[in-house]
Amino acid sequence: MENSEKSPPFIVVAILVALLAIGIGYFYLNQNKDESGERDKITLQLKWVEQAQFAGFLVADAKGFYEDENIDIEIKPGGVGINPVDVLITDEADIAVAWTGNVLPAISNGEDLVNIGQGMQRSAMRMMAKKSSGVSSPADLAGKKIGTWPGGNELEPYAFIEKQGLDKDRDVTLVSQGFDMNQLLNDEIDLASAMIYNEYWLPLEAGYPESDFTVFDMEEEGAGMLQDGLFVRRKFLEDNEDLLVRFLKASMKGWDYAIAHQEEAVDLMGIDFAENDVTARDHQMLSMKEVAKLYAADDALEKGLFYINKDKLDQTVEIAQTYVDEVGEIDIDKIYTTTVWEKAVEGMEFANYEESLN
Amino acid sequence: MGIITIKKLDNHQTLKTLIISCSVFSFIILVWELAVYFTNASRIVIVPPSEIYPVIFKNQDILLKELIFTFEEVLAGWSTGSLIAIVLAIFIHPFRRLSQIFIGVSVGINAIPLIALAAILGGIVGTGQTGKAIIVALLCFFPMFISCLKSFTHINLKERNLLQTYSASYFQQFTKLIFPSSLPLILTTLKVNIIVAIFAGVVSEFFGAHGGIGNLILAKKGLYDLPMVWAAIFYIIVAGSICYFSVELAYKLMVPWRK
Repeated sequence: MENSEKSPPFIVVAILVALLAIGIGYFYLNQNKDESGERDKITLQLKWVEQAQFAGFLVADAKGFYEDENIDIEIKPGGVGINPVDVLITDEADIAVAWTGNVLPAISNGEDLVNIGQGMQRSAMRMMAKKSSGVSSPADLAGKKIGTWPGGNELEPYAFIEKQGLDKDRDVTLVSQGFDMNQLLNDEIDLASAMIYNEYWLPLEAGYPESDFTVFDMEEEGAGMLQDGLFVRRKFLEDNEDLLVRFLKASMKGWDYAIAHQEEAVDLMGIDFAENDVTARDHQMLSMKEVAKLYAADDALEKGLFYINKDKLDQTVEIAQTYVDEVGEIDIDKIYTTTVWEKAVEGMEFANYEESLN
Repeated sequence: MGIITIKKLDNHQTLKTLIISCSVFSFIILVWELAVYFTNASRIVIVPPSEIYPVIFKNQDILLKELIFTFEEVLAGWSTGSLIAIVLAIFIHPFRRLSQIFIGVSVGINAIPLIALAAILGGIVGTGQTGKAIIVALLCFFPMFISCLKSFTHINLKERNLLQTYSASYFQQFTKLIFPSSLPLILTTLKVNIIVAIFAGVVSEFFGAHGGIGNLILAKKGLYDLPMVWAAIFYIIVAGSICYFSVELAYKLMVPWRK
């Protein structure tokens, strides 16, 4: 008797169960909602949050270039703790914008990932030191506190350190760096990682003169690796080559448009500009200018955007293998294909960038 | 004679528990090894124990250096946070109303996952070792503060009345009755806190640090050096267990009347 009095009325239990079922159902339905029906779905994982670094993809989406190719694209922004290579391997994205240096350790661990197009034609990575810290040449690195971004962005600084004959785990202090330059400005670290299209400008925008800093260009220091390449799983490539060709075509159009119309591209990205941080419109404009110079560079200028420069790829693999212990044997011919690019670039007409690259 | 048999039984029990724990542990390791072997799992997702084992010794110098770095933060934060909480509680507990208010507020704050603040606190307290120790201290403070206030204010009235009939001063009441009878709860909280502290220390290093085992895990994970990541986790487990059982031992020595 007492027991039956204590148990809650049936109707309460029923309502709770129903609510739970609705909640779970809503969650899963949302996961698999399919609005387009006809068009081919594809998911692109960005290396970082939506910003000028990915302007071309965002512009292609905004201007309907993917739709023209009968593609329904989902662009997933990256962020802290999101490694595009992990996302790619776990099948949560079909294509990833990833740094080659980030992909190589995964490949040397047995993952079958393929480069189908190379966005940035050269490294955008700089190492920046305050002159007051006493770093004026690469020979001054021993015993210094060096900021890196762990999670796949640290191979170039590692190669830079090891190239000076130092052991990265023993001869310097590696500090995980925030995505701003505060640690450098507050003298918490001696050397900071900085992208030429982003962090590099933060101290200058904060009013520090350029002459206060020593800047090492990883490309010039022989530690530069390719960045922002398009990577896919081999299985996906084999099953969806035509889809990838169409994707690359639309992306080329997007980037072509973004490089030629930089101001419009920044506004088309669909991000809410803030007052004065990295998402400020002025900062993104500056960033767009630098990114354009990295995409429309070297051989890509003559042969077309996303051109895969084999020599550069060779160089990236060699630097990684020589200076980063974690990267083992890699068969270079197995990590890229030019087929997709060749088919995509056919009949493409690129704008003349001369004016916009100044 | 009676005492000896009880002790023997006790030892026998401990041995039995030890054997069972060891076999369960070995079984997990075995299943892990076989699972990786037979499923052909990706090497950047999981590695078998047989690959982790050699790394534990090979990279001892790096791992120990980073472990000590982290445990300096952990132990400093844990002891400071707990000590401040005890001292504050000692001064506040004689005021009943105030204590009630503080307990209420602290229980509320304690329900917030304070570790979420680690992401933002880096900007305020810095990313250095002191900053991490402050985060650890913050996480250890509230549980200890609540435990102390509660147990200081919930003393058996009969015993207190007895002391009062001896005209014991409040100071005497506190040192002879209130504090000793609160010791079990204080030490239990210390024991729980050391685990909280390790967790807070390692996790706060994920948000930017000048070294430490959390920093190492993050760095090696980015390079898919999983054996090193697992070796680091192994070091944390061993060091954490040593800390935990040290506090447990202190508990047994300081509160012999409680088993």
